[in-house]
Parts: sequence; C-alpha cells; structure tokens
Amino acid sequence: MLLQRQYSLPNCTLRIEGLSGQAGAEQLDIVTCCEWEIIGQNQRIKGGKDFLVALLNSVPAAAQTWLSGVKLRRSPQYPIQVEIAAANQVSLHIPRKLLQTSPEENSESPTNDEAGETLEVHLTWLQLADLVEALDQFCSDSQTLPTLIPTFHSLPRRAIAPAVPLRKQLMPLGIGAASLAAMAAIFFHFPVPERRPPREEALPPTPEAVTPAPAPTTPNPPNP
Amino acid sequence: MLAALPNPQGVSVCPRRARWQLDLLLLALECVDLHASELMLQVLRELQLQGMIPNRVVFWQIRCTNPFRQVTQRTPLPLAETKALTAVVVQVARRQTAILRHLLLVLDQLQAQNLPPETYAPLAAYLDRFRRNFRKRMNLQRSSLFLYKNHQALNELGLKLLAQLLLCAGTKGMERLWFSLFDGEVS
Repeated sequence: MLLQRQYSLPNCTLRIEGLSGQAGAEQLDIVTCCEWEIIGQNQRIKGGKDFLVALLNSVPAAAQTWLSGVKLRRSPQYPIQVEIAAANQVSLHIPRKLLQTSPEENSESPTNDEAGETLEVHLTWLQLADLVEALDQFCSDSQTLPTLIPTFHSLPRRAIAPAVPLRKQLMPLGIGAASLAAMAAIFFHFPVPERRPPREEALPPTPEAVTPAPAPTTPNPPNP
Repeated sequence: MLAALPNPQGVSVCPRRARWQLDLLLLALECVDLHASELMLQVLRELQLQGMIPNRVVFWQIRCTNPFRQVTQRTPLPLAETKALTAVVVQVARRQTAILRHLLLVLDQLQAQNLPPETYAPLAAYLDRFRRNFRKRMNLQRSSLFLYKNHQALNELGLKLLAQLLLCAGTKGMERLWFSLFDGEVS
C-alpha cells in the first residue's frame, strides 16, 4: 500500500511517499519518492531516497554550523553543498543525479551551474528555517522511518579553522627572521673593528700630591 | 527537559564563545519583545529552575559571564547553568515564534523590493532597540567588537539573530543550539 506523509510549513512542504514493510500497516518503512516544495518560489524538487538522505545530512548540519558561527577548516563532504550568507541568502547546490526531475522542467526558475551537473536553489533564512523544521518533524515522526533517529554532535576542534589564520600567525616570525638576515648581511660587509690597547698616560698630579702636607705640629712643652 | 542535553566530552565549563552566543540570543529576545525579561523569569519558574537561578540578580550575574560585556565577571559558568540558559532561550523563542516569523517575512519582502529594513516600523524598532542595548551593554573597546561600531554591521547582526532564534524555536531547536555551543570545543 502506497503511503504518503506531508510536513507543511508556511514556506516549505515536504512530501514523502513510500511503502510499508508489513501489509496493512501504517508505518512507512521504504521511501520511494521525496518532494520538496518551496512555497515562495513555486518550485518543486523531486528525488528519491538518496535525495532525502542527502538533505538530512547536509541541511541540519549547515544550520548548526551557522548557529555556532564557527568557520570550518574545509567544506563538508556532503553531496548537497549549503552556503548560508550574511545578507539573508542561502544557496543549495544539489547534484542532478539525486533528482528525478528532468532539466527541462526546472529550466525556468533555477539557475544551472556551468557544469550543468548541479541544481542551484536560492533560499532565504526563513525558507531555510522551514526546511530544517520540516526535516526535524520528519525525523521525529515515529510512523515514518522509525529507525531514523536524529543525531546531533558538536564539531571537533580539528574541524574548525583557527580564528587567526596560520599565515597571520607566522607573519611576525617571518618579519623578524627577514630583518635579522638583512642586518646580518649589512654588518657582514663592515670591517671588524681593531682592538686598540689603552694608552697609558701620566695622570695629572692630584692637588693632594702638590700641596705639601702640613708639618705635624709638635705640642709645646708645658711651661712649668 | 534538561536531561535531553548531554554533557560534552572533555568540557567541564561553558566555553567563552558559548557564553557570548547565549547572551546575544537573550539580548535579541529582549529586543523583540519588551516583556521578554519577565518572560525569562517566568520560564525559569515553569521549568523549576529556581533552585539554580532564584532571582533576576543571579540571572544577570550569570549573563555577565559573557566576556564581551562592559560589566563582566571571570567566574566560570557551569554546564548546569548553561543548560538553564539554553532552555530559557528556546522556550522564550518558541513563544515569540509568530513575531520572529513575521519580522523575517517582512525582511524578505523588503529585500525583494530593494528597500532597507528600517522601512518597516516594527523591524526598525527592533533594530533600534538592539543597537542601543548592544552598545550599552557590550564593551566596544574590545578588538573583536570594533566591527560593531558600524551601524550597518550591527543591523546585520540583529537580523541574523532573528533567523537563529527561529532555528532554536523548532522541534529539535534545543538540541541544535546546545550542540552548536560546543562546536570546536570537543576533542
């Protein structure tokens, strides 16, 4: 029996179609089709289970990274690349091999990349929040793919780009080494100063030596 | 409710960036709704967190662990109190979801018409309150905050916080916010 689940939000609708593993059960176990409709743009993106898994892997992770504000050392290796810019602009690069729609159907609204292998979708922050919420509701639904449990994890330290780039950190060291080398090269051409023995000069006589010492006065013998 | 938030491995106190982020989200909530500060205390009572944060003075002291405040204190923020702040952010954001959505929807419409956000009065009021509160509370002499002496940069930060609050208000918003606080802190 074909089952359908729909997660509707003001700017986004996520439809999941699939089958149940047991006859007559209402639990959706096998996903056959996933359709994401962006309400504000009247755009529908359709794919299979791979598309749904790629969305689940990339979009919530990008939202978490944006929430934390950290910069990654390298872009995550997910099939769907999500870029969240500062000015209310979000772009998703979805490989066409994940989609079921033909290029002719989407030729009006989305823009094709130069290679033509990815579909670029532009969203706003509000549409991104609705997509994340739809995916969260889907993951939390016990009647749809109950084995799918949303997992969260913090990014490890090695995945984060340093706040001060390595080039900036090494710049003072480089400037110091370069100035030391330059000064060493300049002073290399200077002659080594010769050591001169100190001249022995007669010291001028001190006043104490010139003036004769007063003769010791002999005490007068006491008169009787 | 706080039991759903596990302690991250290798982290015993709230990291510096997380304290800044939580205080900033609370500041944005206060600017969205003038009664948000009362709502935060009410949420603390509803979540039975009065033993940890009994009154607004202690709540203010906890928020002052943000290292970029003008009045800051160097005491570490334990993870239990970090969880309490996270829960307050999420619960208040959920109650203000309608306002947040409305402001972001208007922002989309204004951008589509190439109009600045200050064109719409409620959005202009929010941004004005955010700028004033930010400049009053944060230490703009810190090199990290030099950027926010600029009017436009502060506006962009305020608008970004609206969208981030909406992400926190979602079904799994609390877990997402909690784990994002420790991005780059776990080994």
